[in-house]
Amino acid sequence: MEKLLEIKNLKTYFYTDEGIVKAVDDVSLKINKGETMCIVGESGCGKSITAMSILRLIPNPPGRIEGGEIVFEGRDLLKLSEEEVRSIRGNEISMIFQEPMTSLNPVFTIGNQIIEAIMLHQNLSKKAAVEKAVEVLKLVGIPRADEIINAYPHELSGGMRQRVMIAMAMVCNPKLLIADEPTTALDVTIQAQILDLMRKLKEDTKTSIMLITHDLGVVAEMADYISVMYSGKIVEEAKVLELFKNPLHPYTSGLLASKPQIHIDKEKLYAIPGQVPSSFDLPKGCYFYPRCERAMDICEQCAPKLKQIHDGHYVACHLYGGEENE
Amino acid sequence: MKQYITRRLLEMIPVLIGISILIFAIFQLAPGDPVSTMVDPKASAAAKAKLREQMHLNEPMLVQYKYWATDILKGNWGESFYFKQPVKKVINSYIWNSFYLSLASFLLSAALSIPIGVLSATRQYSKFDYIFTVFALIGISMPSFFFGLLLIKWFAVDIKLFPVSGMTVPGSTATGFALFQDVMHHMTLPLVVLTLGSLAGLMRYTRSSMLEVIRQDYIRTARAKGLREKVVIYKHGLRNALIPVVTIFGMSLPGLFSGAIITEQIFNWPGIGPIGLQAVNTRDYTLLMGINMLLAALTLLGNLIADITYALVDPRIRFK
Repeated sequence: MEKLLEIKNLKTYFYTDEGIVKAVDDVSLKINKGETMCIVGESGCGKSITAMSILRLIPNPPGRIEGGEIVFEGRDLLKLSEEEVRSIRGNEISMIFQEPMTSLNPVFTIGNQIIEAIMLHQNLSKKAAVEKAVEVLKLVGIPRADEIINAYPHELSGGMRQRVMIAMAMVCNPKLLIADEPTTALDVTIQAQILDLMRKLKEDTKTSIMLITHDLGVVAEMADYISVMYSGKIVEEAKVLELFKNPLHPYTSGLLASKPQIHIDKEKLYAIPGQVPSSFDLPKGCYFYPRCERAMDICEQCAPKLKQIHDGHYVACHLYGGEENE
Repeated sequence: MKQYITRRLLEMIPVLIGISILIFAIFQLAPGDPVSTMVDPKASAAAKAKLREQMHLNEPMLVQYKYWATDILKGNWGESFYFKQPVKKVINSYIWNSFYLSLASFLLSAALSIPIGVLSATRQYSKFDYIFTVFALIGISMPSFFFGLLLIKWFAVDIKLFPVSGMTVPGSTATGFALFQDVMHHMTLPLVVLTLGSLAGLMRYTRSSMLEVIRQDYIRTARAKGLREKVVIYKHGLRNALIPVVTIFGMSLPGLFSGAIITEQIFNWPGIGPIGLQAVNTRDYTLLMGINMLLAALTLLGNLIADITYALVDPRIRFK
């Protein structure tokens, strides 16, 4: 498959008063055309920062991208000028966020905010832009789109607002849609609708999706390919079926085991013991070592590298041999 | 909207009645009586008693209030004892001088404080931000009488760039543009004093409001759309940051007419501020009550204008 975006050795650090936080620490991943790639991990593991780094939206200060490459269709986004990046944002790569309630500007109408994106990236007259905005609102399943276009965000429900966000993101037919926990703030029935919508849009437009989530149910439903992140590093990468069937990294197995299952009658849910390590005080070896049930001596001393175990299944764990991945 | 404004205007009536009762009661409590300030101290007791009788001052308070309130409603605000002129005429000849000065200061501080506040916020902790933080601290701490005198010493006495006081050159008969020029020349120093005082606070207010706004999710959304930073800040940010600032501006609207007592006094600006103070000292009851009633009405009107402006900038506020 053809690569659309490839991140190589990305390092995004935050410089705080207490020290340096390596939010994204040497992360490499790729997204193929027409594929949905999921990044999974606990809160604070660097998923969102990875996504924000792609569009260079890291607030600076305190954050800074310290190294690596983000190659999008042959161009390194990190080397582009601010203006060139702006022409990509919202146009070729667009993003939807976790919080639909606060992600729309409260003082402008829905139409105004969508039209703004259209006028910015496409050579359309105001009238054509309005028509296009109505059209895209209809596409994301908003009833009475020609009325809603004049509504303010506070007049819509959370699910509707997230649809508007998706409409805004899709209006310029992006090649890559980054969705940062798009359903976390919504209730379950609305979640399913939004996921259905994203899947349908992906099929219709062949847009690649980078989906960030901590919800394994969402992953199973949406993903072609999964990367599991822990403390700013990728610990495992595989196709979705492979990963669910055969998780290698103890962290991934832990995550899968802690998913509630409706047909199994259990008193208590499994939880991975311990806490995510503090970003200021990371263990010397494997970051997961203090919580790992299968830890060995070597894990304390030396950080494991990402290795290919079998075709397309990578893991960073000393339990497995396999060939080194450069 | 029309309905809302009508309702608010109607609601002002009982409030104004309440205020008029309060003002009347307070002046009843004040020591002395109008007659003693009106007539020659050497006048006979009989003459005074007669005058009292004429002015209904011997009647119960409620009856007196009825006479006063009816006259006010009829547009008869009485005669100032001190100026020997109708109260309305006295107020009219001074209040506009205050208004010109306050309006100029209001517009100038708005025009300066908003851009400075926005720049301070977008460049938080930069040199620019620090310089204006110090400036704001000076502006807030500096008493206007001291700053006014300092300016007079420097710019009027030492280098003679601006006149010491007044609103026009004494005896000037200039009209049209020449008059405007003369007034502006006299206005400069008091304007600087007044503006410094309000600028500092407004600037800090805009800054903190903007700092709050640029951390919001919708600012990130605007950036993710590919908008230029200027559009992000001045379209998406400022519109939101101005909402709380509008409240502050609204609260200063009535102040446009009340006059700046200290500054006007120092620069001998013929405004309503010192006139009101003087009316207190000379026990000019009718003038004082007139000024107070007028300011009360203007304050209510100012609040209404602020509320309407509020709704114009924030679509989440809608009137039922």
